[in-house]
Amino acid sequence: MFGSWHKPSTSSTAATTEPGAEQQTAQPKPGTRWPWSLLTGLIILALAALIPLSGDAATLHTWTLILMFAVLAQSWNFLGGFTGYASFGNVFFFGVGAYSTGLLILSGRPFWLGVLAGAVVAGLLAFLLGLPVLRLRGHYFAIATLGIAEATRELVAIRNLGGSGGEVELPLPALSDTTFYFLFWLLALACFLLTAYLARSKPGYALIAIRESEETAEAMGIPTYWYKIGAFVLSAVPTALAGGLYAYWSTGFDPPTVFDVGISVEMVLLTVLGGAGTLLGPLISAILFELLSFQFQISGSAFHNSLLGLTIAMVTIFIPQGLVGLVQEFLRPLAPGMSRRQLLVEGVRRVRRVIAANGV
Amino acid sequence: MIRLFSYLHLPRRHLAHTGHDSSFQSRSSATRLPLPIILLSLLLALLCSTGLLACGGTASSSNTLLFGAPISLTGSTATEGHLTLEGYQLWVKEVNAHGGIKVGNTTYQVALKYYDDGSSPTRSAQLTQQLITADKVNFLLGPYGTSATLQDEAIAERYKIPMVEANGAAKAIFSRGFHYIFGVLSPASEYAKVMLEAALSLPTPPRTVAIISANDSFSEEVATAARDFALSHGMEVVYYQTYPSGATDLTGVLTALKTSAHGGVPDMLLGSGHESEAVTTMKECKQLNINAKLYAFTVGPATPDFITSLGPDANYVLGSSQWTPQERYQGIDFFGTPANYERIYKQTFGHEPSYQSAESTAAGLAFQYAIQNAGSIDPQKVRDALARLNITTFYGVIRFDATGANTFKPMATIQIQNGQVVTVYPKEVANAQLLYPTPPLSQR
Repeated sequence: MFGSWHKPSTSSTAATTEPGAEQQTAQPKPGTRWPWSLLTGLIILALAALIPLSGDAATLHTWTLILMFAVLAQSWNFLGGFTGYASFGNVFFFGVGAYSTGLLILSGRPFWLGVLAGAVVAGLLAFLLGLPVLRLRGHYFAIATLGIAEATRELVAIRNLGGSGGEVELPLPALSDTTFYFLFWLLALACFLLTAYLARSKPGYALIAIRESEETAEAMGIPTYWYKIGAFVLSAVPTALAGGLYAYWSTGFDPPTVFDVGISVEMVLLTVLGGAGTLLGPLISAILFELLSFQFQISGSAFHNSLLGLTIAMVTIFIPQGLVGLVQEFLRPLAPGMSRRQLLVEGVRRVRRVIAANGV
Repeated sequence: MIRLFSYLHLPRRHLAHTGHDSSFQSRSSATRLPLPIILLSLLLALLCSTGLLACGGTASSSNTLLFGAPISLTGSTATEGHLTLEGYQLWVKEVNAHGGIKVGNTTYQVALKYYDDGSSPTRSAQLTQQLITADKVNFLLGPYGTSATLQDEAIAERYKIPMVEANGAAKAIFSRGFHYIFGVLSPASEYAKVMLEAALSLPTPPRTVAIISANDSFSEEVATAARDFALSHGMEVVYYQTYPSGATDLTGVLTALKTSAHGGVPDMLLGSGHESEAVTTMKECKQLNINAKLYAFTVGPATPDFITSLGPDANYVLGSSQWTPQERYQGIDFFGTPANYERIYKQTFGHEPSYQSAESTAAGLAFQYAIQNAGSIDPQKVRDALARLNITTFYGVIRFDATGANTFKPMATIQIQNGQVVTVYPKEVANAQLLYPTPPLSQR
């Protein structure tokens, strides 16, 4: 599907028709920034691979969840960040992966078969559901995806998949916690490399073009509808794989757990906090957000959710471009005659403006 | 404090590139903290406040037994989670006030370490792991609800730490062949059974029954067990229907039910669901003029809200309860009787105890006697002692079958009479007679 758009390098030959070329001229020196973020991400993932050495099971558990949410946020980024289609129902694919795995394990099949089957089923469902749903835009798309996830949760409960009310209880997994950790790690790495590829390839540029202006992209000859469906499938498959791993790892779940709208929200939240459409954003914010939220949680304070919510609100008000955007701004070469201090003062002025605009 | 935020109050001209500004800036900068330091100290303050709170919770010494529990204090089951926590806390307070737990020649004080899981099973599992491996708790008390228990028990099983749970009644929890999970409450199958038994104990028992159920796993399990019990005891199940959990309109279901018993209204209507659905059912029965001889709901009638929302229409309705303060048990524990538990609970928390709290306190008692019987705090020995436990407490019998479920404790049937909750069945613990049949709803 992406083949026609992906030509290995030189896009200058067809500069008039291909959006990729436009993207490159619009951004000054993108080539210098991208390998650095790729390198940073790989270093972060390499360091994350050392976590099991700590030998602390609680830390390992937390980091397994971090990687799981990194996978979910990164795959949401394909559609929400790159293509600009904010799905609020991506947990649907998580649940599909979990139930495929759970039901196949219950029927005596090995777990890896269940995980793979879940990915295939989720990919097919994304394709079929994408056909009608991706004709919608903006709020309508968000509401439709949300509806699909909510309806499926009820359906699974009514049909009594697994046990009564859709409860699935699995035997204790034969794999160790460390194995689960590395399975999630591999998945996070794969998502990261896929994001890196999209950030620098024709298919990725096509998706960004759709985000910036769908009509323009269409006018330039991009088959936007099929690209959007492709992005939907791309965000569904890793989500389902993560759901399948989660099912076996957690050993027991019911529809409200794996079709929890809160997971959808967290995917959106992590991507937006980190920087939608960026390479490092979802990965970094998954780490920071999960660590912070766990610290709040074990703080014993009754207000941990309020504190977390307040932190999120502050970040979205003051750095709407996300954490990665903020760092990029600081690394940006200074304009001539501008000192670091003035940059800071400028930032403070912006904060004041936000406050003034809100009448505080 | 004002100086800290003086950045935010800079006059606009201050930020422009003029000579006037630079002199102004140099004058004031001497008295102002740099922004990075402010941000850093704010961050530090944040970390300290959370960190300090974290270690302020429990004091662990060699003679303290630490019990861990992930409980939902926020989120969808926050209310029930708080009741669970109060039950645990009351047990901890009382056991320490009565000298702690004696093991051989050592006396242990008890401490509780709990976290809020935000009603999320994923978080609950994460916090269970934290409690076992980082906080090094000796034993685990259960979370609130079946979903969280399903995940937490797997972690307890892996680390071989016994967990006594008080708030997950689904059969699924005990059907997995796990050895370290024990539940003090009667299993789901008992919820409807006890009300059907109460109905069957009448001189002229109802002959036809209609069962409606919410579609969540617990309610369906209850409803299926009710149908099987009714069929095997000579009652005719004339109508059986599930509806979406949390439904706010049951007119469709009730209209179909109205003529299900050979063209008439069934003798008994049994609802398996939640409090709001029980209230809706009663209101719509009145509107639709459905007059069964007996109304029974698994969850709802025991809560004060049920009576306040329905007023006189709440009278005659049956409910089932894991525990009521009116029951007449003579326990070996320091609470002794349900009435005494109610008194102590009210003194401590200022409101009536619910069955969730009583269950939770009973989970603590199960541990207390198992540890005493084992004469050891070794998790394996305490687990074996739990498996052998057979005691009567203020909460009733605590004795676990091979799967860890407490199938030996009967539930109670309650009825609302003149706006008051009374216990009507089993006869041994009842404080009132079952009133039957229900007068038509329009004549109240």
